[in-house]
Amino acid sequence: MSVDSVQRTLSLEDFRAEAEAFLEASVSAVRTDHGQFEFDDTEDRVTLFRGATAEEAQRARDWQRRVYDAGFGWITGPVDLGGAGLPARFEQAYLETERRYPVPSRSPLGVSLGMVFPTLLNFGTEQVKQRWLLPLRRADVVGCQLFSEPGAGSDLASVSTRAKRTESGDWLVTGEKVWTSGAHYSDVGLLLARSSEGSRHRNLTAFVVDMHAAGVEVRSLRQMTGGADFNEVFLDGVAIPDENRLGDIDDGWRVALATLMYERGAIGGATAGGSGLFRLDRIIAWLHELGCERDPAVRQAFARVHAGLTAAKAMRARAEAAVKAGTTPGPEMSLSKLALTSNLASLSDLVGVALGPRLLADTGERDAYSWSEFVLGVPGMRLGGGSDEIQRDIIAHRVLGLPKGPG
Amino acid sequence: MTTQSDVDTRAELRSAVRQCLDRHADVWRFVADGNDQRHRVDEHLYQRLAGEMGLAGLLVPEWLGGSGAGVGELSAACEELGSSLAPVPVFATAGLAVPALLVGSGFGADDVGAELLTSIADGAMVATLAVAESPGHAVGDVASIRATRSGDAWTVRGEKQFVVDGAVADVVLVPAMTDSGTALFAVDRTAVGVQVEPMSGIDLLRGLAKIRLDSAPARLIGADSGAEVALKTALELSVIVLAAEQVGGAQRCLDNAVAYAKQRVQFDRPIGSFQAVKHLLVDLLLEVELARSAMTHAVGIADEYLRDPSTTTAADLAEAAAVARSMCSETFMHVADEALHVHGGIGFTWEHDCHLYYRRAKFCELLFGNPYEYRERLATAAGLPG
Repeated sequence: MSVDSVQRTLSLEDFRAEAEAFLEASVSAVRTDHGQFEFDDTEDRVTLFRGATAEEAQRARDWQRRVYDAGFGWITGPVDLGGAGLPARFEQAYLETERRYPVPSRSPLGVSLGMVFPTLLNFGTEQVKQRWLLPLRRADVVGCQLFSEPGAGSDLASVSTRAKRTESGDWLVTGEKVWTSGAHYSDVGLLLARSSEGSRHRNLTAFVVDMHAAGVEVRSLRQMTGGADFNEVFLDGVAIPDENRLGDIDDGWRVALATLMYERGAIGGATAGGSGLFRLDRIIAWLHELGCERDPAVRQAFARVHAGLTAAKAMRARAEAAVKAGTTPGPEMSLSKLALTSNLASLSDLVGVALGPRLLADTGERDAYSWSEFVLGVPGMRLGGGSDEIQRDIIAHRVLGLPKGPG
Repeated sequence: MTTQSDVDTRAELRSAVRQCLDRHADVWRFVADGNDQRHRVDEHLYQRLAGEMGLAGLLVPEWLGGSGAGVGELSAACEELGSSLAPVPVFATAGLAVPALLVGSGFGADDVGAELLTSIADGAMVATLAVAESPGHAVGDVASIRATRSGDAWTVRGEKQFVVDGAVADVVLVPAMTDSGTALFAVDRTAVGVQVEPMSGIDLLRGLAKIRLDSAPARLIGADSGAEVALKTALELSVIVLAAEQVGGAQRCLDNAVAYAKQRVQFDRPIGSFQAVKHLLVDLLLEVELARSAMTHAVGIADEYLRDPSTTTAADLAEAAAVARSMCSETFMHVADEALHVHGGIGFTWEHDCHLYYRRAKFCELLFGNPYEYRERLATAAGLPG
C-alpha cells in the first residue's frame, strides 16, 4: 500500500487483504519472538516483564520500520505528517491480522510509540517535530519516559530534578530519574523537571532530551522477578536546547498529564483481554495438560478468571460502543487498569491453585515452574502506570465527584 | 447485533418505566412487617407496567399478542425495577414464567403454552415458575412431584417451596415427573387441590410461597417427557433477567452511598474525602461496571438464542448466563453490604432503605443457586468436564 493508494476510498476488506499480503511476504524474512502477555511457544517462560535486551529491541525496530514503510506503521495518522489517514477501525483490523502471524513483538517500543510520540506530536516545537516525529514512528529513534524519581512516585508533581536556564536561553538539567523502561536502548527521553520555585503544578517544565548527550548515565535496575526491565537515569548538567522544550515554561504538568492519559489508554488497550496470557482456550488446554480440570478449587479459580476476563472485555466493548454512538465514554476507560490488576490477581491465584508446589520448585515439567516469573511480576503491575491507589483517586474525583482529601 | 435503533428503543422504555415508578411506586406501603408477614403486591402498578406498558409481553411473539421484543428490552425495564424495589410480579411473570413457557412450548407451537402466553402478554394474568422442592434439592429438581394421566386430563401431586410471588400468581408452572420423564405443567392457583401458603421471608418486598398440590388438575405444556433441557435453558434466561435487576439494585446502592459520603461530615470534612471511603466506593463502582458489562454481554447472547434457538446458541447461553449470574450475585451482595456500611448507624435502622436492598441482594444471591454453583457450571460450560 503506497501513500498514493490511500487517497482512493479503501474498503476494510481490501485493506485486510493488503495487510495479509504484506504479512505473508514478510513472515519468512523476519525472526519471531514473543512479547508481553504471552504464553511462549518457543521458550518455557511466562512473564509480565520480558526485559527486552538491546537485540530484542533491535528486532522490534527492524520490524516497525518494515511495517511503516509498507504503510501500516501509523494507520490513523494524518497523511501530511506521514500517516495513512485511515479511521481507527483500520488500525484495529491491522492489529487483528498481525496477531495471526508469527512476527516480532513491538512491545519494546510501547513507551516510544504509545507515550513519547503522541506527546511530541501535541506539544513539540516545529524543530522537534521535524527532527524526531517520523524517526520515532519508524523506530529509527526510540524514546523513553523520564518522570518518576526516588522522591517522586505517586506524588509525581514533587519531582526535584532541576532545569536551570542559561544566559543563552538554553537549559542545564541535573537530577535522578528511576523506573525508566527501555532507557538502555533509547535515543531520546521525555523529561519532567523543576524549572522554578513557583507553586505546585506551576513549577515544572517538560523537555525532550537526547539520551546520548554528555552527562546522561543509564544504570539498569533489577526488579523482583530477577529480570531488568527498568533503569535509573542520572542527569549531570545535561545541556538541552530551548527548542527541545515541550509546552510553555512552568507548564510541564499539563504535558505530563497528557502523557499519563496516553499511558492509561495504552494500558487499557493492552488489557482488553482475550489475547496473549489471557487467552481462555490456552488456559483451558493447559489445565487439561496438568490433569487438574476436575479439582473443585481449580474450577472455582478458573471460573473467576473466565468471568473477570469476559466482563473486562465486555466493558471495553461498551466503552467503544459509547464512543461510536457519539456519547461521552463512561467510566469504563479509567477503570480498565484496575480491572487488569484484578484479573492478573485472579490468574495468579488460579496458577497457584493449579500448580501447587510445582510453582515453588522446578520439576523439569514445561509450563509449570516457569509461571513463577509471572506470579512474581504481578505486584509490579499494581504499582506501574500510576499505582492502583492513584487510579482510585482519579476515578473518585472525576467520575464519582467525591471531594479531594488532604493528599 | 445491537443496532442504534435498539439502543434508542431501550433507552425510551427505560425512561418510561423509571417515570412510571417515580410517579406511582410507594414501596414502604408494601413492606411486610410485624404480625402481618404476608407479602402483598401493588396490583395497580402491575397493571400499568405489565398491561399498559406491555412489560409482561416483551418476550412474547407478536402473533400471540406480545411485542416480540427481546431480553435487551426486558432487562432495561428490570434494571429500573431492581433499582426501585417496586413490589410487582414482573420478574415472576415476564422473567420466570414467560421463558419457561416459550422454551417449554417450542415458542408457542403448543396450544396451552400459546394460550397462557397470550393471557400474560395482555397483562391479565400473573404467573410464576415453581423451581425448588426443598432446600436440599438442586435447582429444577422434580424428584417428588408426580403427574398422573387419566384420559386427556392430568393431575399433579407433591409440594414446591420458595415459589416467587407464588401467593399472588394466577397460574403456577410446575415441572413434574410423568411415567415417561420430566414435563412442564400449568396449575391454576384457585383450582381444587391447590393450597398456597406464604412463607415468612427475608425479602420484605418479594414473597415466597409453599404450594401443596393434592391431585390438582394441571395442563401439560409441550411433550410429556424431556423438559429438563428446556427448563435449564429457560432458567438461564431467567437468571439473566434477574442479573439486570441485580445491576439496577447495585447501582442504586452505590449512588446512594456516594451521595451520602458527599454530605455526611465527620472530623470537619465530608467522609467521602477520606481515602478509606473513596477507594471503597471506587472499588464498588468497578464491580458494578464489570457486573453490568457481564450482564449486557449475556443479554446479547440471550437474544441471539431467542432469534435462533440451536444447540450452539444454547451452549453460548449457558456460559454467558453463568458469568453474569456469578458476578451480578456477588456484586449486588457486596455493594449492598458496603453501601450500608458507608451510611453508618443510620443504615442499620429499620426506617432507612439500606436493609431493603441488603435483603433483596441476599434473596437474589441464593434463590436459584449461589455464585459458587454458577462458577462450577461456568467451568463445565467453558470446557472443563465436571
